[in-house]
Amino acid sequence: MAGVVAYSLAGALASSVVGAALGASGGLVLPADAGPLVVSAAALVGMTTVAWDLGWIRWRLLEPRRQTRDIWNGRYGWLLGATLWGFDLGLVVTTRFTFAGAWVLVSSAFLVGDALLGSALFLSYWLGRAASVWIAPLLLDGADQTPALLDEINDRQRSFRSINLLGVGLLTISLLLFAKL
Amino acid sequence: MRTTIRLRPAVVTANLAVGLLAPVAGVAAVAARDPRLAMLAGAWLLGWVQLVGL
Repeated sequence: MAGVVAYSLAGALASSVVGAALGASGGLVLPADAGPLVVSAAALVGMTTVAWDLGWIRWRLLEPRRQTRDIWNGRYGWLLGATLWGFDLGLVVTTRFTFAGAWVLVSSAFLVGDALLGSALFLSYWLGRAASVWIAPLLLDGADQTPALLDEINDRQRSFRSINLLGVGLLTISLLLFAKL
Repeated sequence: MRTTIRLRPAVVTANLAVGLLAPVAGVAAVAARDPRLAMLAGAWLLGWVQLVGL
């Protein structure tokens, strides 16, 4: 339990900082009357992401080529290992993306041009992501079933891809509405 | 050889309910013209679906 809490808190900290940095950067770079630019960029990123996740674009997804280090648990102990793992995944932009939808999150945090909202977006993303770590143990009768659960999840990639597209659509449309305010 | 897993039905239902809460909240927020809340719901959903990358 302490490991899950440490994982969640470290990830929340990392996500908040990255989201705030992106939002603040957008605020500095984007002009005051950036509405049309934000609308165009959001629509472009949203459509490109959907095309990528549907397999219409054959190029490899632009993403970091690394994953969290599974040796951390052995080297630093389970508590610090979980903390480092959460922090690393919470950064979002340092590890592989499961779907291209992560680009919509990154671009949205930048395009809103506000550190607080950018931070809230990344924190919300992280809370959704960390939820599975809290829920997964409740799903199973024992820890030895985790590999089988992951196999089951992988067998349902199409369903998760559809849910991802729903998230992309929701975030893109709401960003378009936000930019028009 | 694949191992059969035993999922607890009540927890699976609860997990799906949690997952579906975000899009429902997001659509409601769009309808209520609150794009910030809708954006947060969209971001939450994108994070939730990353569980395949556990």
